[in-house]
Amino acid sequence: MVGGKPNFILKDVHLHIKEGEFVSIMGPSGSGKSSLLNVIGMLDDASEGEYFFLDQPVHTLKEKQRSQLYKQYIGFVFQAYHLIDELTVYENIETPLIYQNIKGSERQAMVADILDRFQIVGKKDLFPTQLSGGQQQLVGIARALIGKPKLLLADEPTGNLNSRQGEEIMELFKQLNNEGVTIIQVTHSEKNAAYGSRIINLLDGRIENN
Amino acid sequence: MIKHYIKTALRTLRRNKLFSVINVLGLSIGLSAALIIYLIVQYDFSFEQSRKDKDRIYRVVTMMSFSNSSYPNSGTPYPIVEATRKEVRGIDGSANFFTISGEASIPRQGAAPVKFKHLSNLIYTDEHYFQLFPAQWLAGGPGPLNELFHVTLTESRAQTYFPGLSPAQAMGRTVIYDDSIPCTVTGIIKDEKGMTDLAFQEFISLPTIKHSSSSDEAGSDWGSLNSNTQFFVRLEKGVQPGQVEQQLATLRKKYSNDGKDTINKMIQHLQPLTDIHFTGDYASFGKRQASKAALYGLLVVAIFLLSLGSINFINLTTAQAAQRAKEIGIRKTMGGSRRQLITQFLSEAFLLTLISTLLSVGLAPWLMKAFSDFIPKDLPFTLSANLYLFLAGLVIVVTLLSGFYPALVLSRFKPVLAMKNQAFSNKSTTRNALLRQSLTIFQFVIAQGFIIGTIIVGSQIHFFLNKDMGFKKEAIFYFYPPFNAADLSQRQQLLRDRLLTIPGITQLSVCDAPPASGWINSELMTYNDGKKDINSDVQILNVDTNYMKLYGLKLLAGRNIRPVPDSPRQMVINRSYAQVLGFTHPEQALGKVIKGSNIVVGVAEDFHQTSLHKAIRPLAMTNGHSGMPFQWFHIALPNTPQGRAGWKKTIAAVQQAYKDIFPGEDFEYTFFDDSIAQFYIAEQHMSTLLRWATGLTIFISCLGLLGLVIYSTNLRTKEIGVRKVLGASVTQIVSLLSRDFVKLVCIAFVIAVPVAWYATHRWMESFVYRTTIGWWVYALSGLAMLVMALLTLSIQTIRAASANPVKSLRTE
Repeated sequence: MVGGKPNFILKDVHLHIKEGEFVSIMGPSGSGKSSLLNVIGMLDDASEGEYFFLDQPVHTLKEKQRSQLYKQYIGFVFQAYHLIDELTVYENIETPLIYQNIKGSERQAMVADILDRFQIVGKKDLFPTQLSGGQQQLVGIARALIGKPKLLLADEPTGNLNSRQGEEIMELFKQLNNEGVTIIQVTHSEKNAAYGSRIINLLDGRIENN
Repeated sequence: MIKHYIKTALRTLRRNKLFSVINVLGLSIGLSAALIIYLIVQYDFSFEQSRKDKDRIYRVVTMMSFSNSSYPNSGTPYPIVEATRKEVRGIDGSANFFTISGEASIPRQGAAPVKFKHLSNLIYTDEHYFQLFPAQWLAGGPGPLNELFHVTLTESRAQTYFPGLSPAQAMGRTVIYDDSIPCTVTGIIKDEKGMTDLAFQEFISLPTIKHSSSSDEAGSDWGSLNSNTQFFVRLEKGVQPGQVEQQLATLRKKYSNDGKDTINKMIQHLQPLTDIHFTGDYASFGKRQASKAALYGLLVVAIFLLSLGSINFINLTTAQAAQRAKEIGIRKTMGGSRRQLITQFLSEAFLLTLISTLLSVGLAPWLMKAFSDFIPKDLPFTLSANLYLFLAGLVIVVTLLSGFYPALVLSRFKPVLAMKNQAFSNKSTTRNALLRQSLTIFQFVIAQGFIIGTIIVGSQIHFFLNKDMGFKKEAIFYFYPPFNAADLSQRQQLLRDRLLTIPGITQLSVCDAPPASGWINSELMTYNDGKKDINSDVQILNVDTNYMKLYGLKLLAGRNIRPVPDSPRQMVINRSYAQVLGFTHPEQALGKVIKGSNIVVGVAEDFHQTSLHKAIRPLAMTNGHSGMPFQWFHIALPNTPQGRAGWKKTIAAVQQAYKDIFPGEDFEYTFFDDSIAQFYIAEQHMSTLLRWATGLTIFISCLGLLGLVIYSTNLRTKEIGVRKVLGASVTQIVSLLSRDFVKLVCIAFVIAVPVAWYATHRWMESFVYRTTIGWWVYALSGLAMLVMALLTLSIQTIRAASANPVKSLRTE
């Protein structure tokens, strides 16, 4: 709110994303890309409008149900990785499983599996600060995928990486998408956006073209 | 899951080492104090709690009133026992006994008897006692206690008298009391296990008392009262003590004549069994009593110290919230629910409290010193099941107290904002900052209040000890011979003559108690001023001619007592009594006759007969006999540096004389000024406790302050750098950094002063003589607090202010 007048960050956004899509959201700074991603990721509420996720009316759900839905289906990847500094690679990846009340032995198997897949078994006891940016983001993605989400949300996942590391991440996304994970990423880069099957351009909170 | 929480908590604590140390120190001091105080309070409140029907058992006690003074006595006139059993309704059990002290000897075949001196916990009683206070009988039974010359012993006492014998073997043996009363052992009971003041060990059959020196205590006089004569009753269910008290009053009217006497009155009251252990009007059986007020005071101190430690935790945790915001945001986006996060933060608080608790157990013996004046001698410091339970409960309470609010605050963050570090700005206007400030103010109000309290209590004690009481108290000591020695009068005379030959003694007086003591002997005196009778309760001091000079008492008019007793009895009265009698000038009282053939020969200046808690009362010094065969020996020593050097020798010579004349007796003497200091022992204890409480609260509060200032200077590193580059001096920056905190300390002062003023004012009102508290006391204590706060702050601010700005700016 500025000067008493409502100031919409997002306005008249009508968007339908099908399962299995790989969508890239583009737009200049402040156009509302991240806000849109946060609403989709249920981290933020839209002040108006409706949001259906897997046919569930998210805008009417209670916090608890929403959290349940979120834990089960959504994984998040951040530009700044956002790993917990006090936890090792292993523990960082394990944390979402703990929050889902998954049993210890099962957790162990799942984490081992994903460490193996991302080829970071040797790094499992290191702390985030001991890793390079690319490695940290790899851990971030592993963590996002550990709960086997149907939807992966990525907010400029390669923004802090050099181009080679960025390409690797994008290749990984492509591969994940092929395995059936729906991906929505926010990006500045035309090249990265091109990995997606569909590009949405945002300007001043509105969808320019789709 | 739990493992995960504990692991995370441990890592977080390790990462914030400094804050963890501050928290652990503060909390462990509070916990340690709570632990010790729990032990004390638990000990004192457990007395008599394990007795059957404890809520229905009462002790019959007596309040005596003479003219305007009341004298509480824990005993009852003996005839009441019989009359109550016959005539009072609403009672389903009663026990009476006489507490005595004495000596016992155990005859042995073919050898000299074994003697036991200074025995305590002896009573004369009968079967009734064990009906009210049941015991576990190892041998024999209570029946023989109704007959002559029987005794029941506790197991431990039986072991003392007959080592190695089983209870059955000890039966039938003989114990001879006071060399003249042989008693047969006809019962052995188990020692009392629960905490109790009725921890008697030898129960001599009641009829035997007629053959002892205490025989007149078991007389039939309704007007005779002795605190040795104890009487307990058990009320029927639903009967109120007042109903029985009324019946006792009726009994008195019926049998005694003091009901018609308007001046002398005795009133019987029922004192609950569970009150006997606590100080009040009535003594326990010569045992230590606990003061409920002191216990509550201790509880308050414990609560304060604990809450100050918890406040440090709350302050430091919420202050760091910004740094943890990112982690919280991530955890939320990873699916962590609010409840899971709250659990995590509570685990941190729990872990910290647990560490502090372990440390506090180690700290306890050291902190025991702080409370040593309040710790009963036989207080057990063992880690009992009860104590573990208490510690566990304490850990939970403290965890919730200190962890719950920060957990709520931290878990409330919106993940998106938190990760962008916008969860809150660090402006001092946020609600958490306000809470932190209020809590810091609270800490300093407590600390400030304790400082003021300590200074005021200290100055009152100084006043007590240094006020001119109207007599000399330095370089004087006194002692008295054993009460029950044979040929006491002659031997006292012998000792007196012997003492006169010792050169180191400047003056000697042999008579009644010192001018101020707990020993008060008073008489009701009547004077007729021509129009009406003036009745007053007058304290009587029987003195010799040296007494006034030795104690430096001032004569206002007339003359001193003469050595020879003459009739009528000569009296030197004090100014207060003269005024009560209506004389405005001391001279007017001279030659006046007070009923009972007393003549006033002199008037002395008032002096304090007891502690300064009480007002000066009418007093008369006479040369008559007090009725007591034994007398006190007062000895003045030379009070010069050279003279002092000879004290040891003189006292040794006095001791030798005493030992020669009373062989086998212990020589115990008291310096008069020490005994005066003893009057104020409760205040001294309070002062010690306050000093400790002050020190600890200041320490904990300053720790918290240090934590906060470290945090805030870290946040402002860049600002400090920029300011320095712009030319700010170290002083300017230090004052900038300190300003906010100093403001809090000042606000605390403003709040603390009226509270402390009111509390100390109430306390001072309980004294008749008190010092005046000037404004400077408050100013000084405020200044002291401020200086301490500034010193604490300077530890961090000076370092921050003198840091090289280039460095701090580069790291940004």
